[in-house]
Amino acid sequence: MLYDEFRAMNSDIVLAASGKDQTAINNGFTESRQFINQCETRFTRFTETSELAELNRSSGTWFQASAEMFDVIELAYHLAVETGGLFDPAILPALKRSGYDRSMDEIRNQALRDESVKQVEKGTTPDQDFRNIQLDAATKSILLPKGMQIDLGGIAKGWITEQAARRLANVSTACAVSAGGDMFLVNLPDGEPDWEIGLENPLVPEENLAVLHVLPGAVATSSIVKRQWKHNGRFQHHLIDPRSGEPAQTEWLSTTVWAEQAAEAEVYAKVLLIAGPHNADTLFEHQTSKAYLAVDRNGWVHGSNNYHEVFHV
Amino acid sequence: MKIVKKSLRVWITIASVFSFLGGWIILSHSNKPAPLQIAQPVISAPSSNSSLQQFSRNTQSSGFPFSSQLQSRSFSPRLRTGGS
Repeated sequence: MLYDEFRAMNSDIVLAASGKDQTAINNGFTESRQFINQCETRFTRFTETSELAELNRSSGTWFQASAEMFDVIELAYHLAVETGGLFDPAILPALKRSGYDRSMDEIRNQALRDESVKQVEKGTTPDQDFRNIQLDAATKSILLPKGMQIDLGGIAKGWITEQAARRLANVSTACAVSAGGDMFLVNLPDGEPDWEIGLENPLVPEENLAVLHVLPGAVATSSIVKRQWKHNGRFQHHLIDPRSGEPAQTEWLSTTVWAEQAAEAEVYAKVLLIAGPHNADTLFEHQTSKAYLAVDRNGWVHGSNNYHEVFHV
Repeated sequence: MKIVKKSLRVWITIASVFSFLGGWIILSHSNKPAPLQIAQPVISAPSSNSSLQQFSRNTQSSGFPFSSQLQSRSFSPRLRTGGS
């Protein structure tokens, strides 16, 4: 198995691939890396020149999107509908209000120098339901309701991860792409019955809580521990509950979801964490092709009824 | 005089042999000393799959602890998932 590691999308990226032609795999690494960097430029909300920034500026008028942007927005729309609005990319104003108005790397660096962060006046921009957007597949055009501002952070990362892995799969017999723990696995490593993945302990991030033996597909974890910062004297995290517009109050520290698509895994991990243990079964009732593990504040792990079908611990 | 000396030597030799044999017999029939007690770390076995499934079926109220999954912690795969 060959590896390539670098940093992009404010995350540690790991590319892994096995196959007979090492030169082709190295070329595949280069192509995947370029693809990831190009996508980051397109989907970031932290630069004014990104396509996402243009889309947000165009709210209220039809926006001619790239094929990649349209794919992600369409996927986000279907997942927002499927989760009853619990997944909602239109929480950008709420994210900014909570202090997440720059990249997490910048916030962490700033926090080291000065604990105060820029205050965004509460309620200056109305939050809106993402399910009200309009899409025109024929022209790949998007209409955001006037005033709507969206963030595609997690779902875009999942989509990029899967697309990069599918590119790498063209030059390898088995491969994996991981972006900060959101990963897509194609085929099985030579002679192995599954992929070995460390499940990070949210209480002690340097440690693995367990080693998961996972089948090909997508794995994503959401955590309220990783992206934390202090705003107005209170610790905040990046998972906004669309129902309150505030960082989610949840009994779980992290949730890990297996799904066939990386964007789905990412969205369901996030939604599961927001929904919490009391709504988990309802949320996954009709999602028989997905499975989850969740870690609570005592370090106990909870699993969906079908978790053993894809996670062997 | 010579006879006395010779008798004394024989008597000492016989007494030494019987004393040695007597001591041997006494020791061999005495209680054995207790073995030295050494504290051993208690390592609990990893939970079996069946017990994990049992816990997993009731997600509302219980879970399964991974603190006993010592083998799992002993090495770290290159790929890790933990949120970002």
